[in-house]
Amino acid sequence: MRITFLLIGFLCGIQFVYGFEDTTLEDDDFAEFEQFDAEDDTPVNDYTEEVPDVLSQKVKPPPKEFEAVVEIEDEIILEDEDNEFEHFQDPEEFEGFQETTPRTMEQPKITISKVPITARPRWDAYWLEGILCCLLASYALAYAIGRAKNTSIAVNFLKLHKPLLEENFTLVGETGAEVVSGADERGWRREAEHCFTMWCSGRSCCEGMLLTLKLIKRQDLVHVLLGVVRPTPDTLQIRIELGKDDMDPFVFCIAQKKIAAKLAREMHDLSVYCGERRAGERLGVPGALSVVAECAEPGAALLDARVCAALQLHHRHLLYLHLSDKYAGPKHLEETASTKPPETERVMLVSLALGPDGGGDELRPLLQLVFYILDKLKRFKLSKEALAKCEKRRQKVAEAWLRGAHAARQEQAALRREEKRKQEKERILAEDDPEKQRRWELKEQKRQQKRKTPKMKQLKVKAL
Amino acid sequence: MQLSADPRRADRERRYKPPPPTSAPAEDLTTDYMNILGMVFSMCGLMMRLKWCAWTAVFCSSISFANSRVSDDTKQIVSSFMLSISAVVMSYLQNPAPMTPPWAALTT
Repeated sequence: MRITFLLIGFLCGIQFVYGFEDTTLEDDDFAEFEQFDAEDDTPVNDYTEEVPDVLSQKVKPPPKEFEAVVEIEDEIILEDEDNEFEHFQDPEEFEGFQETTPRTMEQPKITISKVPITARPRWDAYWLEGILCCLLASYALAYAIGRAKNTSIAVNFLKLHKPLLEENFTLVGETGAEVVSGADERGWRREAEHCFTMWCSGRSCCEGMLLTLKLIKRQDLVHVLLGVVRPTPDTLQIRIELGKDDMDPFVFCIAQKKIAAKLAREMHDLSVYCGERRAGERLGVPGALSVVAECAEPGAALLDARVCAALQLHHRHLLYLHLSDKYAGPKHLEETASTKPPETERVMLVSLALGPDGGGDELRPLLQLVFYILDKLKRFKLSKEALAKCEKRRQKVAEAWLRGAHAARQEQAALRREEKRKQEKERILAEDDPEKQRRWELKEQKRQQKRKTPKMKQLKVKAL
Repeated sequence: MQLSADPRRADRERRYKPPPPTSAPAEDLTTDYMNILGMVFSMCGLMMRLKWCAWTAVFCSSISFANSRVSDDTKQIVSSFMLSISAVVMSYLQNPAPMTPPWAALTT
């Protein structure tokens, strides 16, 4: 209890002291300004303390002058109470203003730190830029070297295999400005720094043959570095266009296991016409190869003893061999909604892997194998039953596609109708005539009702 | 390994006709992607004064050029190059200070 009384008494005392102070302030109108003056004095002193001694001596105004200024200011305030801003326009009021004002008010509080003077940063500060420039230079160098290397591989291939191509075709190679041919006039056409094409034509059993040399992107340093992690070989892609009588209607593919799975999944003709994949061992070819075929007959006929022997020896260089009368390329996602049938062609596609560093003569037997199969393909005829089965399958696919196309067309027509109706509704709503709008709504309601009601046949009973 | 004696037939010579685009193998889109990336980085370098963006744009343009096909539009590649180089030049004109590596902020 005592403690609480003491505490209350202490608090009351504090309140009393504060109240006394307030009353003194209220009595004196200029007490506040006195307080500010007192505060102003302290920073001036602080400043003089901070600034070096020499400066402080110069800056410090004579105390007499300062007092005089305060007095003048007081007078001005007293005289011009009625019109307090008039004195700003009177030039006489500011006579000697510059001299009388204390210097301490003009001087900003600046502290100058000692900074070493350097005209520009030193070159070694740009080390990161230097590294980037070096990288750019090395990329340019790799581009030049890679381009030269790819060109030399193409020229070497031409030197090795052109005689074989000339034995089979009357027209071999391209002419023109962008041709890579070594010494000859005809040669590869450069499509890119890593891609060369050559068209050959004038042979029995085919319309023409397009050779595409797809090399590693040696001109691109990024791809070269990626190739170290995941190596890919240089490839030669052969696309032989067949005539109508050069091949019976069937689809057949023999490829490396992984590639066969990928092709069976992605290629339109293989996924539509062919069944499951079969291991190559059953047909006498190495186990590394798989066969995807529409029917068994072409496999048995084309993969004879000579072909099997050649594949046993050189199967590492054969990536895939794809024969098709309905080749339409890879499957497209938007194909389901298309109303046009996919363009198909009779082709024989072969992909061969070149040896390391561009390879040498190892592709010769495989090129000969391709020509051998091409000749055999012309002579090979499916049996009547197999032919009938293949024809029937094609007919089924065509019908299924027609049905799909019809559904797609109907869907498109429905979409168009809906769009037209929306436009009409917007037009009607935009018009000011409420009668017209009401009529349109009624019409629309009727139409909706009619659509909802199930269709029933009406039987008219004639009155006897 | 040949069945017929001379398979050559001059009367079956055909002019080269490029295969239809649907049956052609998937086109290499590295050039286009790098071109777009280069443009984006160039704009970032110019607008936001980011030096590393400008340098990346130069590299993207270089990769785009190295992977381009002969039939590709040369103007596009040249403009991509010019834009990326101008981004580098402008960023150093505005602020000649050297580039700070990204790990410098972590160490300080």
